[in-house]
Amino acid sequence: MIYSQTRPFPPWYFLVPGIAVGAGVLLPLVYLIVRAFGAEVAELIQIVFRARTVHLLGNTLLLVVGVVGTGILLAAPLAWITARTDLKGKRIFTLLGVLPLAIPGYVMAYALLGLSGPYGTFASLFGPSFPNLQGYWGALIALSFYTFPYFFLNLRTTLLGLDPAIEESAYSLGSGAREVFFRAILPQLRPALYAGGLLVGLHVLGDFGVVSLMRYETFSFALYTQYTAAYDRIYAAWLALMLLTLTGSLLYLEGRLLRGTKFHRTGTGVSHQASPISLGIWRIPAYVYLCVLTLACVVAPIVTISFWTLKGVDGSYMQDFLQALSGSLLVSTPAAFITAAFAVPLAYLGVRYSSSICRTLERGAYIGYATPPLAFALALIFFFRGIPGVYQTIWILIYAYTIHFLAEAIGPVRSALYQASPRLEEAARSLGYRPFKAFLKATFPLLRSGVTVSIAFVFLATMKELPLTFLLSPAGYETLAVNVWSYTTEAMFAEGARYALAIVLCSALFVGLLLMRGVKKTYSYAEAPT
Amino acid sequence: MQPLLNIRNITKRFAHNLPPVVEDLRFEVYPGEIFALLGPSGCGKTTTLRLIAGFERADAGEICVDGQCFEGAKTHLPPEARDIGVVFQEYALFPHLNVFKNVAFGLKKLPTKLRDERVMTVLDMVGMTPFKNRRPHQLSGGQQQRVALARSIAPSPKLILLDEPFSNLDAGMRHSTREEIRSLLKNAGMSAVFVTHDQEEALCFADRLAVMRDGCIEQIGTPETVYHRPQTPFVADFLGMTNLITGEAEGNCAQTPLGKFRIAPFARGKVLLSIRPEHLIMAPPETDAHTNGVGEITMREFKGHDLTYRVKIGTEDYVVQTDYCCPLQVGAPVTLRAVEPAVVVKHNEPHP
Repeated sequence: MIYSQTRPFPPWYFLVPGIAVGAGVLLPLVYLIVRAFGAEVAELIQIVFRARTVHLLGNTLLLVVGVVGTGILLAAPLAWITARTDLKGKRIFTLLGVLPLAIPGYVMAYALLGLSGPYGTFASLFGPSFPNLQGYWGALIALSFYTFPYFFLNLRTTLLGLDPAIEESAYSLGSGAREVFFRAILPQLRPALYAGGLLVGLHVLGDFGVVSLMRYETFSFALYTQYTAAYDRIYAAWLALMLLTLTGSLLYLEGRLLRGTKFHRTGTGVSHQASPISLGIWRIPAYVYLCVLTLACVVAPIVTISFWTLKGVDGSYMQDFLQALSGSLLVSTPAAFITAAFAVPLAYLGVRYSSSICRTLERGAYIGYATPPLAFALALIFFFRGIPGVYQTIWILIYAYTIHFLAEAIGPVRSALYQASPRLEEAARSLGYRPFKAFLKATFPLLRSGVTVSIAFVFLATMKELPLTFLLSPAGYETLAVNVWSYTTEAMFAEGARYALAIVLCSALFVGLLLMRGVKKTYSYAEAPT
Repeated sequence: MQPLLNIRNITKRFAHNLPPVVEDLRFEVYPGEIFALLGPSGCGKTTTLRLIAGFERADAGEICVDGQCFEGAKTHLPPEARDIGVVFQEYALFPHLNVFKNVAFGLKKLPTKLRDERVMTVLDMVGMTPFKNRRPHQLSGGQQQRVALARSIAPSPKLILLDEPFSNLDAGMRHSTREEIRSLLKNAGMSAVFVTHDQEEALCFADRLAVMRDGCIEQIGTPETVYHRPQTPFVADFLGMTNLITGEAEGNCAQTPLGKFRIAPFARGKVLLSIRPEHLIMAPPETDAHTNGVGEITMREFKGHDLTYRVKIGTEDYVVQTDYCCPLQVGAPVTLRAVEPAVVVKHNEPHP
């Protein structure tokens, strides 16, 4: 039974953190807009409507479209093979579809740059060299290799869930294989493609490491050069605003496309798993494809990083490495705990209170996630510039991490919260506990595993985060991610290798956690024998 | 006797544009009494229970326990201050605590030694002592329910509320658990309000019951009264099977399509009568053919210890319950006769 609208107003200890997050996301962005409109109209027109804007817009869109297209091309066959065929070794190749997430874009860029060119790994190991990968193609490859798992995961889940009866009835109605694909299967894959496209698009728009290392001019890259070299604040603010507009358009587009695409089985017929398709002779090209993909996305970067690590082995950089490591740990650890501490009230508001205020507050966290980090970093710099004791400290960085990664931390807490019945707290109330104590005693113990996962998620995500760290960390502050980037820009691959290796390790743990969550089970009444 | 629980004109709505879930409710529960709120799903009975517990706020009316006002125009005592135990439909045992700690949960104010003694006493009462170290998910449904009951009894509340306490048990368990819990509550002298949609459960578990419909109480009384003297057609129909017959009353008799019936209470004019299937007797028409309309048996359901017949007279169907040995078959012509007075459930004209 539903008891709706019985507690329209949540207690302050849940509401205040929620409002704080909402304000934390919006205030800097609003301030950014205020600053952007601070110039004269004539000046504004000159800033906004210039050829360079069109050039940047074209470049950015080209990269988004390219990465999305390549991602689908890489992921679709992999998803189909692992979901619908009888190919041996499917499980291993399923892992392959997720593993590239462990190599962040800028590490991939490091690997590609370290691999190619006359002094690269490839030339050293095999002799012939191929030209330096740079610009559009370099950025496209680095980003596609890193992000195609988002398509893979979405497509595979959908393919596994498809009701084969729909295909079967299409065949029985006299459609050919091609027609069945376009008229019966593809429409059902659309939501997966949109969801994957949104995530990949957000990544490309938000990316800073790859485009800056590959020297490909997008809004992010221009923002960075504007910030470091010229520092025309109003122009920088406008670039950030344009990037935000682009992100907003992407979200809007996805919302529009997704409208009315709820596909599910109707009726009560028994759904059965499609029988796996036998590939026959096509097995050989399938294996070739899978091996090439593995080689390119996983083996090559790992080999490159290992190669340069071995090349750079001498103790002299150990001190620097430890310093960067402690720099990373020093911000990631508090950020992880603070973010998880905010995730609990926000998840609670979203799950337990149906009022629109609460859902809006929870959505604030998603705005923080979708906002391109570079634009948000710039907004924060504008916002806190005048405030001593905040600007140029690690607190501003922790603040940015909290806002940016909160959405990722809410997920595990929310699913744990769905397992905990609201009756538990009511039972505690009727046994004499005041509301907050009742939450602490009856509900919170059930959230522990969720909160732990959240902390781990945010910790690992911040360890490998680059753009926020780069722009917001105090001058001279070293972290693993920043050092990978810095050494790569200088083409000092041997020096950067150990940092890249550390990042890959963190990311691998992150991916491992992601995979483990799929099988993790928490307490529930469903387990109770009756 | 002073009532323990006093509900006065309670009204609750969840939204302004919706009809109230509970409207102008009024009843009392006396010390040591087991009181049932009976009604179909959505009738507001669970909301009433949640209002008493303090999980919901009433829009109007008062709730008093032991003379103290818990809920009123300006007062709303939070659940933790009410001293009322609640047993939830899904039991809501704390999954992270074992049985012992679940029961001890509400005894935080007692010193450890007294608390442990009290937990053991209550566990003993419900027969769960051997399971004190188990986690809830290691218990069967019936065992979970006993722990939930023990947990709510442990702090010795003034009143216990039970929400559909037997609905999550399978049919076999339900009977024995019902008896056990009733004697347990009675032995402990506990007062209880429980909610159910199962009329049989309400009749055999409660000392008194209120039949609810669309947020209002239709009738309050002992199981016998409510069953034998339903005041509305809804109550008559909801508590077991019945035949609703229109008739023209004159004093203690009424003329109906089936013939002349004795009625109770006295009435005059057009009336709606309820007569239970077991109070009707079938007879072949030749014995007293001149008295009543003759009908035909349209259905015969043999159930072992008894039989249910459906008889068509004119355009109406009537249900008749007979004992195990009735030989009449489908198609046989019969007349119907009542052995008990029919109950007047609705007056179409005001009483003279």
